Amino acid sequence: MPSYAFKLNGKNVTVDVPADMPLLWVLRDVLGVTGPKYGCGVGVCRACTCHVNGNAVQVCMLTAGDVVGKKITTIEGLAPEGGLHPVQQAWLDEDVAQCGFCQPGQIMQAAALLQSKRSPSDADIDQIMNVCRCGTYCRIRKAIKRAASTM
Amino acid sequence: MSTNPKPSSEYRLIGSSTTRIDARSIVTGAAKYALDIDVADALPTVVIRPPTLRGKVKSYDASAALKMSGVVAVTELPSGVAVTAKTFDQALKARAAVQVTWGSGTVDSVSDADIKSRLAAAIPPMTPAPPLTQRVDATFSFAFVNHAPMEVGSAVADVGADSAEVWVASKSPTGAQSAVADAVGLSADQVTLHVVRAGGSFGRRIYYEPAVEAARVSKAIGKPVKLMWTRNDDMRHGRVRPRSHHQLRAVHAAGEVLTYEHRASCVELDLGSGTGQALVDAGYVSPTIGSAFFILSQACPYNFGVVTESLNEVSYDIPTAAWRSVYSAQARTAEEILVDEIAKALGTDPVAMRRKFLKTADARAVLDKVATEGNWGRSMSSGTAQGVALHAEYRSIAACLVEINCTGDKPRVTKAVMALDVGRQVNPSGLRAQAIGSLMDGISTVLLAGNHLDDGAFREGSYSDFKYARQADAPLTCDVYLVGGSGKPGGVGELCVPAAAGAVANAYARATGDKPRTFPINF
Repeated sequence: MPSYAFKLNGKNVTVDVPADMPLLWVLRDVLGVTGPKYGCGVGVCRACTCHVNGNAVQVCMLTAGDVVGKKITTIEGLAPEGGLHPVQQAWLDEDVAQCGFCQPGQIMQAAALLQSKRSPSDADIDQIMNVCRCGTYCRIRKAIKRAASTM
Repeated sequence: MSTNPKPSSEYRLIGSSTTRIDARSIVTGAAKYALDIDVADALPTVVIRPPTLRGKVKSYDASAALKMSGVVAVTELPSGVAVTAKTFDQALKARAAVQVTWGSGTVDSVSDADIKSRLAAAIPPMTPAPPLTQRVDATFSFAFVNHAPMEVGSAVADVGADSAEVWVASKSPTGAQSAVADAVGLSADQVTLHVVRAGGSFGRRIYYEPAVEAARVSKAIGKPVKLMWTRNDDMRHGRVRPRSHHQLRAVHAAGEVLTYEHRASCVELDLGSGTGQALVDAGYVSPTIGSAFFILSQACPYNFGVVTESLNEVSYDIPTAAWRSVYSAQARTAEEILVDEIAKALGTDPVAMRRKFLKTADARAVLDKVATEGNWGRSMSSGTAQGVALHAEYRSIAACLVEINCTGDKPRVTKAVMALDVGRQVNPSGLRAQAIGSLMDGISTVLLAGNHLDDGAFREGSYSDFKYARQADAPLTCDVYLVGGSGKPGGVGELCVPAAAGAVANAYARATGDKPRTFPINF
């Protein structure tokens, strides 16, 4: 099997996996990183959202080959060990999570948005396509605005 | 030692807002759902499922799949053919390589239109309006709706010769334990069932098919397995809120409502062992458990004279399950739409109409709260409007006022104001969270999300075509007010769905001038 090397949450990793194996399963089944969730496998629910070189992407739609030499950040690596990213803190302050399953993806999406826009408008926030079946959207919006004010 | 609870004046935690105790583990990704749990050597497993609902395997050829990299076993199940491999990627790829010949399903010749006509035919004749009265009639139908929790069906099982261990998110763990035991030939006390966190339920996890499937595979191959439904599996073979049909009639004269009649029919709801048996034990056995439950759960909150409500269930072998607020999300939504139409017939404002006819002061209080805080009756531009609705159940009352904008590509609820009286409040932040989530269920099921049945198979396959609300469908503000607060605590988890759905439908009607009759509206 081919070998692929990339940086995962600040550490260099190399995996021997099939060329067409979705990165989601590389992370979950090979590397044991379970923060990114399977919700659809076709890039529409976005529960698996992670950062590749700082951009929010759905890792169910990428392969290991797509990320060779790149920096991948999952929810586990968003903040320094033991700490919280301002977006995570805002999620706690606004009591966003209900079942919580989509929230790693929501947080990664929001963190990437705030990297590109320090003060996102409602129209910017409306562009977030991550599904939350518990319907926490109103609190997500408030938490993004709260995080924007603290970052 | 006294067994009396301490007086409420001494409460320290009850009534104070707190976040979930596991909130930090959720936002850091540390929270473990069934498939995140590290059960040693548990093998990823997926199931090839039939093309139509509850179709059976006739025969299959797994020879090509078994030669594929990582594939460990292929196992026939009552529900399909399971493929077990070292990674989910391998299992998913091998699914396509198994040749399965399928027998027919349970409803192969049935589509939405067939069910809709049978449901309409199941409605008894409405009572004729007496002379010198006027009437308001309306017919509503609601599509099937998948529960669609974010976490697909999943379970981990390790079955041995004389014991089994299962990890599953379940709302009825003793039922799951018994079902697993039956499936693998053990007694219930030989099955250890770990109830793990759930990635949403909305009624779905009353049932535990993944646990039974995982246990069967584990027993057959002699290894622990972690079994996952794909999103397609969940959408096409998961459970649904039953399609329903509603005929309503209100008879009025001289500004008073004299009679109110609501005849509902729906595809039979599988209420599960717990609820159904309790009703059987209580003597409610005829004609169906569901219709008995309907009578118990439906109560018209208005003084509408002689009130008659009934439900006829129509049997289909379709996997159904109670969906957040059971029958009320359809039945009470239909009723709240009719209330607006009665108000129009009487030349009355919808809030004034409700104030006049509501039975209790508590109900008027939540209505008044949303009317005041939501600035009811404010001037709004063409294509936009306010809508209001109310629901009382579980010793609680909720009112909802929304504003909608129907001038864009699709309707958008732009603002929501909700008021709840749930009696004793335990965690105000959690109460508000339930209201906000229920609001999104109301928006979704009224405007956007449902499932089509085509020749015995559900059409939708994922969130691309099952259009549950996303951020751009959510209101920009949602204010939830808690009123009352004394007495016994009431329920809140399902309370706000009918109020929200009714308010959205009423706002849509006022903004567009249409009379919404089939839901979701954009289907």
